[in-house]
Amino acid sequence: MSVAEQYELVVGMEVHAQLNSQSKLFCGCALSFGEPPNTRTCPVCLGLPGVLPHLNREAFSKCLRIAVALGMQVPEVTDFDRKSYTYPDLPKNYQITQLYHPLGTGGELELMRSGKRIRFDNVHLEEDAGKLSHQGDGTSRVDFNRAGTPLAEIVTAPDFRSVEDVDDYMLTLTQLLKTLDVCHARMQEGNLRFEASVSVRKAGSQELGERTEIKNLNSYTAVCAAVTYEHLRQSALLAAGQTPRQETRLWDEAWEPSPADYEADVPAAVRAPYAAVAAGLPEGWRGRTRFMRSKEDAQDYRYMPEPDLPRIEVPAATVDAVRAALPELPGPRCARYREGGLSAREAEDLVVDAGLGDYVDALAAAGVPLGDAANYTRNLIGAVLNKQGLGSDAIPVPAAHLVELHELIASKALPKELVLKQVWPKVVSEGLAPKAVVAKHGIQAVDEAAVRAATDAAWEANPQAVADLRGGKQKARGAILGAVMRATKGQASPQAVNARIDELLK
Amino acid sequence: MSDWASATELAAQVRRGELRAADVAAAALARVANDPLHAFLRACPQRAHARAETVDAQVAAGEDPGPLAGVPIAIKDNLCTAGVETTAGSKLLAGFVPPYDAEVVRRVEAAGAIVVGKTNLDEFSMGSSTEHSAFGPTLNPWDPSRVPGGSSGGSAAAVAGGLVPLALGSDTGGSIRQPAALCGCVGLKPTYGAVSRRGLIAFGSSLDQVGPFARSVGDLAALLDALCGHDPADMTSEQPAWTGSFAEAAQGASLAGATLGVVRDYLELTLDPEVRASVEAAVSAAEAQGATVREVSLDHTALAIPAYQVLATAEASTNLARFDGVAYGVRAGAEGDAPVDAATLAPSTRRGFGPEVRRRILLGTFALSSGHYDAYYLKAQQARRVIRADFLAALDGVDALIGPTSPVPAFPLGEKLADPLAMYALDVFTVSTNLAGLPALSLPCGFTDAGLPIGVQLTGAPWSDLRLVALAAAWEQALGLDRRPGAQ
Repeated sequence: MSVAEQYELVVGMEVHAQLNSQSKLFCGCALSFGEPPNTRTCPVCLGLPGVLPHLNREAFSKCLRIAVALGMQVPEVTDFDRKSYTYPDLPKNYQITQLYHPLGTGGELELMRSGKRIRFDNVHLEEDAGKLSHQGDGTSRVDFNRAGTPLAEIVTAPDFRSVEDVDDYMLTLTQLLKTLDVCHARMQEGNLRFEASVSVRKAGSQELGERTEIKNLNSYTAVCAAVTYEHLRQSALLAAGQTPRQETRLWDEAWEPSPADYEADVPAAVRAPYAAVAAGLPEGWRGRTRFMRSKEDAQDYRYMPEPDLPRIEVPAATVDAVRAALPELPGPRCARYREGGLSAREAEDLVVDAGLGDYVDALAAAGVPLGDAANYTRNLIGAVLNKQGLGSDAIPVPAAHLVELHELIASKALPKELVLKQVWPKVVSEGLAPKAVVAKHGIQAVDEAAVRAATDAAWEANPQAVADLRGGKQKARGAILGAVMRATKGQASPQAVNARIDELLK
Repeated sequence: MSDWASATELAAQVRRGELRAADVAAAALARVANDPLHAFLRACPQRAHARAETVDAQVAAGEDPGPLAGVPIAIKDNLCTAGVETTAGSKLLAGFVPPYDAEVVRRVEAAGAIVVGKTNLDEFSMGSSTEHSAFGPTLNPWDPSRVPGGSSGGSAAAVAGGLVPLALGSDTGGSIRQPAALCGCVGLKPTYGAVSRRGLIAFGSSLDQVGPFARSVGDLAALLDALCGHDPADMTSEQPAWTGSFAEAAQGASLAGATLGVVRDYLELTLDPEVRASVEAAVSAAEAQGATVREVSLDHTALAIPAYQVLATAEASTNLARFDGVAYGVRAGAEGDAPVDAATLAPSTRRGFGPEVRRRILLGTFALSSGHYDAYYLKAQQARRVIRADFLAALDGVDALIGPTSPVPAFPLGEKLADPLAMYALDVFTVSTNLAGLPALSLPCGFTDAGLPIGVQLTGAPWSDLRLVALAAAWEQALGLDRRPGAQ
């Protein structure tokens, strides 16, 4: 048994989400997506002497939308603060952020997979810093394209008790931000950055232990692995009679378990015993958290109200209007699909690929049962998108055509196989509605007598297949079936053909 | 070398084509080049000539060159001027050429004025004597052994000394009004928000306000008409809540029917006897013109300087943090594009700041530090609210509060340099109006026996700037002083 099983995991999450506004938070510069260094800057985002920030209303509105979507309390008046720290990528050597009156406090989010509710501490609006790139020769270069990009920092309560919950949260929040159209939410491009605060405690205890903050988490996998590792490391410390310290740690994803490197990190007095940690790591494990700085080394940010920006009133009517205009959120949407009979996996896929979900919803709204709508969309539309290399934001078949297709099938006007094999490909290739395809190509179901006749003819014409069938080789049916299909131009129902073969075999 | 022509008269002559702006500018540039007061840190002849040519071309073409057409103006060197070095009086910014104009510079040039040079100041506006300039002190035009006041001492001396008729300064705790009083010219700190701060190198952002210097209230009014107005890019700026122009308000104004509130607490403080006598005589002169005088009190005057020192230095400690030696400042051994050594950054930056700036950064950093914020910053904010409430109560039914601008006239160079607290105490009558965000004007009201000018301060309710200027115009006329150095 891993030592981690003796201690309960407690995690809180902080997310920095770059808002997808047209311009930066306090100037008119466009946001940067990989442009050459220092080409998207101006005196304001470079912090030149005498410049003043001007608040971007669009970014403010997007942060407000997050606050409202998370059910947060929005203050009547919000304002900004200066957070002072000195770093070469921070032009003013202070960051304009919100400490005392953030845009939202409290609130909660229903997770997609588990349906659990996670509580929040706050969301606040702040400016991003520039970026340092280390040249490998001891020098670093600084690029201010990112400086001033609007960020919403979303801080949860320490409500996570498992890595699965953390993963569920990252999935749900990512979907939420996309659904709200406030963030591109592409973690690999850095527009979504997660940090985890991890502590552990004896199972059943209500007290929170000392927490560590983990940085440098560049993927969902890294977050989950880092939380798993930290759970184990802190449990091993406690089991050895030591106490975890409040500190900031870095995720090092390349580390392969080995005692030498592990023990070089921090003094033994504050190091979890390697054997206990290694014993809890699964086969082939990679990655560990590394000590970065202790609480004692933490900077004093010397927050003070930002005197260059006025207090911003947020009228209750504005909050109400934002609330009224909210789209359906991922958690409730996922639950709705599950309640409609879809599997957890199907439901999740339709929320994650919201274009498909929207298509399903359009079919369902037109009367197609949810299960059928999901099947058509996942199978028929999925195949079309796959073949044509399209995304779900560019589905080339109008939902009305699929609704009509469903009507053809459900009304039994034509056999299902006929509709799928003969009508559907032409709906896609010719861009016509199913009934128009049927009319144009004269597609009709072959009547029972004709199927019998065609089957009987094929029976006569394929003695070898008949002999094989009589010998028990079911595969031989294919030859008969194929011949009937050729003769009926594919309009015969395979079931009818098989039924006649069964009669002939008796 | 001095020229005493008024700005309004110069503009009128330029507009009528009787004077060429190019000639006016050339004469002013010649005075700046021979500046005996070290009021200027540098002239900007290229910019001045180009502007003057434009004005002359506008006049020739029958276009409106603006109400300040051809009037030379000096700009305090903490206001950014595109293409013209802007240092804020600091070695740290030596060589900094802004790519943009401060909004106020754009405005005065749009009104036709000709920027001829940048004036001296205490480094980053931190001081009351202009002795804290990294480039040496400015001299008082009335007595070159004395200070001009500060921090806008260069602008005050340039105007009072007859080098230029108009100048811009900035006022965080008295930095326009005190040098105006010590140099014998008129200066106004507008209501907070009336004038854009964009392009002003910040000291205490919630206290800073740009304002005008002139030799007469009429000229001051003409400049104010160009300066004031909402700047959408400065979110702390507002559309002034007054109607009409300063120029109109300054004409035909009267003290009759005005109510002046003499601040008892100010006259009870330690005050130079000649300053007290001069202010009291000026009040009597106003009464003789029909003004009603009543005594008012400001109970929390004693809180003003401590609260100001906490708030101004706290804001300054963050405003100046950007001068970290990467892009600005004195670097130990680094040239051009050579990488900066992060380890030596802080020490080399500290070498770039003067001792007064270092002192205030330390004070402000301390006040914001963990465990001190509540005791200092929040307390100071409370004091600020109390002081503002005091002022609003005292101004109820009163047009302007009256008192001395400075407790002393111009003092000898070097006298207070070794005693920062004595220097800070000079701000006793001026800082509270910045804390309260109110408009206040310093008007010359007399002279000491030694011939040093004395100023009286008029403080009004928020957005009463126009009324203050009208009262000052009438009072100026009643006092009838000759304010040219050496003319008495």
